[in-house]
Amino acid sequence: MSRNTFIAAAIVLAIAAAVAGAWFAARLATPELPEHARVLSTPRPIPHVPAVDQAGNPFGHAELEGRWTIAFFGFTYCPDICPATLQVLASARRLLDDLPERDRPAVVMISVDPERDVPERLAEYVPFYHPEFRGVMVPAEYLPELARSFGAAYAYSPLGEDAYTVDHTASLFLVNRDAQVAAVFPTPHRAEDIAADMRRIIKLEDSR
Amino acid sequence: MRLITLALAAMLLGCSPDAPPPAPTTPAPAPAPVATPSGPTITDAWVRQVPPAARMTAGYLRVANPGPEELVIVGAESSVFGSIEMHGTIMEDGVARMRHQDTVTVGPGEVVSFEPGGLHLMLMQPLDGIPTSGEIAITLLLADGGRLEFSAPVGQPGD
Repeated sequence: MSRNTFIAAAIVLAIAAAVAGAWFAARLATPELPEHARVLSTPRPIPHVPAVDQAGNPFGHAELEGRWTIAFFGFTYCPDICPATLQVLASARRLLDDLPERDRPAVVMISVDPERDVPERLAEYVPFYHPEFRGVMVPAEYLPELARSFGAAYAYSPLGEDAYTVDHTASLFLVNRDAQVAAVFPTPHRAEDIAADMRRIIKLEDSR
Repeated sequence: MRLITLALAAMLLGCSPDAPPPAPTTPAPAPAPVATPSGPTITDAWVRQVPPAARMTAGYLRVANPGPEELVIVGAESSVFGSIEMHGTIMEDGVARMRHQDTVTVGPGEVVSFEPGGLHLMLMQPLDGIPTSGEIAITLLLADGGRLEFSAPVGQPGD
């Protein structure tokens, strides 16, 4: 009797191990796809345009290449959407603090309001949310070309006493290590979703 | 005698299940449901914490109007800001557009939420910088001349 019990237990264990093994193998073979981000089938190259960060240093392909960057278009006179986006990104970024440095995404806000968002102003604003976040100013004459390459839009509208506001695409853009737009996170944005998708995308990329 | 009182009380309560429980010891006057409907209430108010250098921020709240008349909000003021406007963020094809709202109407029995990505109070022209902590006193101005005062803590959503 006890021997039969032993054999039965061994068989059950063996089956369980085989099922678990097959499940893990299947998971390893096909990394999970992101659930919120839309991965572009053909990544879009970003044109070389002059730009400076909040410290006044040039910001271009050299700063983008070799690491992931989450970029979005915004401006500092934006009271609702942009601060919310920056705050969500700060939370998402903290959720990814355990990743090795090369996998931790940089975060960049590209100003759609270069007239008011001079580097000094970006310096007072963007790093408040996270010390590593950067604000980037692109001269007005190059902004349309850059926005177009991301698939982003912006437009100036008169508003209240502050003369104008800027309508702008609120999506987040994931720039890959080759300075190409690789994925888009449409609104609404949640830190947990962004962080989870970043892990999936990094795994997908590394499995190629 | 006591039994009769209890029975009467039970009958009365049974007849009007929606009536607020009698509270004879509290000094606050019980509102008479028909003559003076309970006034509008403001809950969940907060002001978004922004960098000290920011020129503006947003205020959020929920306005409940349990009364029979519509409540029309025409503006807001605060001693901390030179100007407050009501704005709505509209999301169209992924593009966020911010538009001025002259009035916001809360219908009878309705609740209107000022929340991120939607309606918000745009707090501008800070008189002495935007507070990064504490509470900010704000007053909603109504079309009938009424004023709704509330206090909004400064913070981030989820604080």
